[in-house]
Amino acid sequence: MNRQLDARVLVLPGAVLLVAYLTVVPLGMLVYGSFRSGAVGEPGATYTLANYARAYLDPALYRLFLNSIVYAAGTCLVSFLIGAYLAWVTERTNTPLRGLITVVALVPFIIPGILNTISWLFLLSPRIGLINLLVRDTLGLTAGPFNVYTLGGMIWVEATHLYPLVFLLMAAAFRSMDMSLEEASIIAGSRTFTTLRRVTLPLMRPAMMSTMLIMFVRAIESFEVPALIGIPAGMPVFTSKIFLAIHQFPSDFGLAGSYAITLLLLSTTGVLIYRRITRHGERFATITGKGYRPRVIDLGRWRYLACGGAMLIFVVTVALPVFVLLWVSVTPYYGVPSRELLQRATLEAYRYVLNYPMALQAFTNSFYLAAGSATAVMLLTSVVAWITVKSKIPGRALLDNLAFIPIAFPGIVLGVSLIWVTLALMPVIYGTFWLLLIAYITRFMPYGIRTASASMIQINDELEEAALACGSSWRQAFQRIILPLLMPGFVAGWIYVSIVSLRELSSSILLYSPQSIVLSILAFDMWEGGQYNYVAALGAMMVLLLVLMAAVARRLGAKVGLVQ
Amino acid sequence: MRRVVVLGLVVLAMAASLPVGAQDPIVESARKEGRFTWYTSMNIDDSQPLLDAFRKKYPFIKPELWRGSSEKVLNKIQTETRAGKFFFDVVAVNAFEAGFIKANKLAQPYLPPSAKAYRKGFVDPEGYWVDIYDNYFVLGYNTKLVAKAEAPKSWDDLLDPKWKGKFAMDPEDHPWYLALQDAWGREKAEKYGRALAGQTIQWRKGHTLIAQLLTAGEFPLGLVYAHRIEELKQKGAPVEWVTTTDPIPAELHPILIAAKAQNVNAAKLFVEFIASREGQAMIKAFGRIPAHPELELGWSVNPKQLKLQGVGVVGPDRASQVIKDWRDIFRPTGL
Repeated sequence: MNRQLDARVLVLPGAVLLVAYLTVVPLGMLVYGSFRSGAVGEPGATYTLANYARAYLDPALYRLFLNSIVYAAGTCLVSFLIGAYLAWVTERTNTPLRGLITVVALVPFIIPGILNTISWLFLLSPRIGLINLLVRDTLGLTAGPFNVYTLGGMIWVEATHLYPLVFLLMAAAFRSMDMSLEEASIIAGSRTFTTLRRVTLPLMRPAMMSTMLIMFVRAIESFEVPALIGIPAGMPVFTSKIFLAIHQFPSDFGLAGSYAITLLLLSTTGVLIYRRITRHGERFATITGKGYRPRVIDLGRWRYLACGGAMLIFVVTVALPVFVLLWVSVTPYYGVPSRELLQRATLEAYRYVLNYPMALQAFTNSFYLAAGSATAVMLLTSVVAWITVKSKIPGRALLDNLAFIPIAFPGIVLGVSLIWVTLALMPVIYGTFWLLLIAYITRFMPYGIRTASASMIQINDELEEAALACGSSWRQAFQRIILPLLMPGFVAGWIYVSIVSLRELSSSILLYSPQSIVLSILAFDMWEGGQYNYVAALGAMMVLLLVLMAAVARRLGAKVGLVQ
Repeated sequence: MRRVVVLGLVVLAMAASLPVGAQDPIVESARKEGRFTWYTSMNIDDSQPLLDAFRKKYPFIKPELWRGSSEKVLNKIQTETRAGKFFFDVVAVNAFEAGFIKANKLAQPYLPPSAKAYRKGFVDPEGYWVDIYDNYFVLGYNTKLVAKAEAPKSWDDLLDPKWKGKFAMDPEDHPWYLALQDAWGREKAEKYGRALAGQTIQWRKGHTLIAQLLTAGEFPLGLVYAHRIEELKQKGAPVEWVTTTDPIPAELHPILIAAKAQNVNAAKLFVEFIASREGQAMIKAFGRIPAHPELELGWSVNPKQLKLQGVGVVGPDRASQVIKDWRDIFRPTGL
């Protein structure tokens, strides 16, 4: 009995304290800063409501907010449809080429946001977009049919960038789904698609909600698309305001903070809705003690159509942008593909990237940080998810919310607050690898908690109860029952966090030092230095690396997953 | 005979072993410091080689580099300083941020010997900074879409109705507008700005992107950096820039020494190095425009013939004012 208590007494409060520390400190800074007349630590600053007055008495804000909501809802919907379709096809059906689909579905994700956006400009710009030129010349039109500089264009570009996350989360959820419920429906005479609509999707509700919530907040706080497409399109959004506040002279963190509070309220509301919907967690438990068998549906002849659909998605959302990326990386300057330009093709950009100062150092750091932050985030959030989903500990809803808070921090605000806290409490880790690790764990905990929580709900309590009844300790039950059953979600979250860590820039830039430099900083450095073909070469290499990594991770995931 | 040679060699060896500038107290103090830290907005593949070359010259000094965009450099400096930490010795940023650093007493006065050669406007009269390189804001055009004879010759030509919707700018081209205010006065600049804003400007974020899209032909005209266009021209891209606009704003990138520099002597040596012909020649080799007036750029046009207007290091009040005016007149983000 004592032994049983030990792990719980240590692990649970430990996890809670860690989450609280990681989120409450920057949150405190954010809130405190939003009520101050000057930056934190500025002499002569006083408490004030002026920031809020300036932020919320501005009539333009509400129009922007409406823009943001439309843009975010559209992005959320499009990315969900694409991602969920691919996930269902690969996890639940006997469609050919499933392994390939899984790897390729992650590619849009590794392409840095700025490159992805610019690739789409080169594809869908009214004057020089490749797709437009192709359609125009094939059909003999006077102008191309598409214009990327519209709200629709913004939604499309952001959605193609975000759907891999939907794919990951939904694939994990589908994988933990028991066949017997669907079989029952089919025996009762329902067709495949009726079963999907009436049995499968309702059971997926926690995962769907989790995913949509992340998509929505991600789209609201996204930056590249609103800046590179929204500005020319004359579609300012909510984040444009935060950007302008940061680009005041000097940066106005008080104002940026009071805007960020809105994002915070929004994501909190989302979490509360999610908790309401999944209140009766047992209804969604698909992994039970009764002969649990995840298996695939035979689509019959439809499977070729399903595969064709997936391939079409890839040609449009992966092959085309990657082609643009490769084209840009081998040409000395951008031009519409032509024989003349092809003759000037050169691999100089790749040579240049490989010889960039600190490239090796950055690569090593990024690799360790990605693996380290992904592992730490998923372990921590698995424990937290157990508390919020399985335990009856009072205040668990608050914990769920806490772990989700960092999604609303603008990266630069988190960076500044971490500089403060570190210099005040632990100056010794300033500028080191560890500080970046703390930043990443904080930033990506929200994704971990949503993945872990959605997966945890699918595991029926009876399995753990059985283990405890047979005399195993809580630690043993957690380690040997819960974690292995969580594996699909754990791996999905791990892959996601490791990839976003590779791309993280806005906090890293303030916290790195030459010893702890990371890849994204070098990429941005090349971009700001005005060498676009070099950045494209780097992006192309990242895609290659990701494909290798995803293939390996999938092998491992399959090994430790549900195959036993 | 051999003896003479040996003696000669010994003398030579002794002469060579005399440390360079042994008389120079700055070098001696720098040797004791043995290190310095540089915060800069200059990208790494330019700033790192500069430090490497500096190290060849002074092997006993170990430099450290931190690179971020100017506004990030400023945020980092401010946050660290308020927390009572002084990690940086030297800082090089855009003119606006440099003005803020100077006005907030975060820098100390130092002018390197090489600064004597610099033109007026490229060195601080109060002795806090010296300029190291410039961005010339010029009118670029795509030669496939605009014939040389057709291209605008002056800023006013941009107001011709035929350029409506054909000219691209960055939503943060404040330095360009500051130069117009300096050259024409605030009123005339505003009148011009409002007329230009009526031309349906194509806003695009980032000068890199504007240069790329201009090359690709998304729009025929754009406000770009001269050295970027020169670089693209060398690669064979169909772009050119207008040399006759008056003024041509030259945005400065000053270098300053921190008020509380821990390694002030090493910092002084570095500032002198980067402002000297040697350091400036490296900056030119990176494809940037050095501030040193005696370096030939190898362009078809001699910069001395351009109507350059150094966009200076102004105080925070003026900088905020310009940004406010700019946003008010142009509303680049639709806000």
